[in-house]
Amino acid sequence: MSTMTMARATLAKDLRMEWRSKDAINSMLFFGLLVVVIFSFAFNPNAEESRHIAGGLIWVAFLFAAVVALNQTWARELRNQVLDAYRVSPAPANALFLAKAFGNFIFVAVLELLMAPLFIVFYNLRSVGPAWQLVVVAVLGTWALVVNGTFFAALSIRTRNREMMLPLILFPISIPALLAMVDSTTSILTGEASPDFWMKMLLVYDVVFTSVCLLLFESVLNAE
Amino acid sequence: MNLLTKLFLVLTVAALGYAAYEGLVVAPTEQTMGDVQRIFYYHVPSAWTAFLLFFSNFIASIVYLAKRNAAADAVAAATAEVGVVFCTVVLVTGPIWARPVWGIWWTWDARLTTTLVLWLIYVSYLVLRRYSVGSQTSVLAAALAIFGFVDVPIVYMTIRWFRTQHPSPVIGGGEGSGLHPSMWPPLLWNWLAFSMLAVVLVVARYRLQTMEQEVEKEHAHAALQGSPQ
Amino acid sequence: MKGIVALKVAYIATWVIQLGYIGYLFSRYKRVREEIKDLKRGS
Repeated sequence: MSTMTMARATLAKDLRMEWRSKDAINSMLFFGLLVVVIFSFAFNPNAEESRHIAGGLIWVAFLFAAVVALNQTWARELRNQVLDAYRVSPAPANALFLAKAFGNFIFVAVLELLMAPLFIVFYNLRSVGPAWQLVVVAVLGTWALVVNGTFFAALSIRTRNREMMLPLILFPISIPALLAMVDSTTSILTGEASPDFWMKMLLVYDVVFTSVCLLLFESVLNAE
Repeated sequence: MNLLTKLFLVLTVAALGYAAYEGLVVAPTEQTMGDVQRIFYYHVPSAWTAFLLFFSNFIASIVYLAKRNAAADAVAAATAEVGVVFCTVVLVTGPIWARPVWGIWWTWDARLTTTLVLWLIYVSYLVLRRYSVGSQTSVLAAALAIFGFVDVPIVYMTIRWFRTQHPSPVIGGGEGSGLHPSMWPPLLWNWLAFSMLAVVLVVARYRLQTMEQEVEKEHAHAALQGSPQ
Repeated sequence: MKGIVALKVAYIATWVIQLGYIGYLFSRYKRVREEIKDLKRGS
């Protein structure tokens, strides 16, 4: 069974389970809403300023929501000792990783699809630059967070301080991606600069770290 | 501690003393900044040393993942920790230098900011090592180390670009500013001295790590033998 | 902060950090040596 077939099967299973119980998605959606509202209370700019700071606010909000989602990822696996089953099975480790990463991507994307309109409403946002570029940034940026986050979530479950550990090791590594996401979003919203470099940087980041994750995941999964 | 070690220690202390003399007395006074610029002779060598240490950590981590030998893991642990110490020196001396010269503590200067991110990455590495349970620590840490080091050029390029968009003072002179020839000897002396100090600290930390590994193994054995099954 | 003061503070801070780390290493060494002694006594 090829890696992609395995990955698809695992992903389908995860999505099905999630759809049936709706555990994670419901609490995450509410969390996302809360974050937007609280940010709106904390930072209450007028229309002019809001275009300059919205990029930063949105991505910080997405980052926190993503961490909540990522911590969920392995919790269910651990509960049912699924990880051990995977380790013993002949299925390639990367299949599991890709399935988890795509699953997380979908969850976080759903979150973003909820939170973004809320931000637009609360901050009266209107993009000066082309809005389709915002979608590209969102896709590249979300993958950057999710691919490393999925990997590090696997690392951090073996620690004493599980939930705290994930952001501690994910955030520093993600700083360049975050800078790129925020600055490109701001550039597009304000139309004041070209987001090209940032988008290329995000693409490079995604390619580099997806490769590193795929190269190292097998070792991490089998670490005992 | 054998004779060679003692000799190296003495040489290190001597080198540090002489290098400080070079930096504080022999080096010429800088034109615009005055004597405060002498911080440069501690700030820059510490940065180079920290970077070399993190690079060593990267290599040791790769070797560990490939060969799974405890020595490589101990080297990784030691170089990361000593690297963080040197990195801390860079982050402390930078703002102390910036404050009298530009009146601000921090400028999101590309090199200093990269150093900050580097510090954060390796502190997170040390945190992972500390809180990870059991024998998987070494593998998990090695994986994180590889991620961290691969990130470094990306961080640098990103912040460089950010800085061209939002320019501000560059601590230690811009990319183009050359060094007056008479400033090279004190710089190199300090680099030599701090590198020797780094070697001393890494060896010490490495020995500590292997001793602690031994103790842990003993505890594990005792637990296995002692517990009535 | 004037220039000369900053210079002194920077050099002193550097050594506080380095010597602090060396002290930390010494205390960990002490602890490990005691643990080894305990183990030898116990076994």
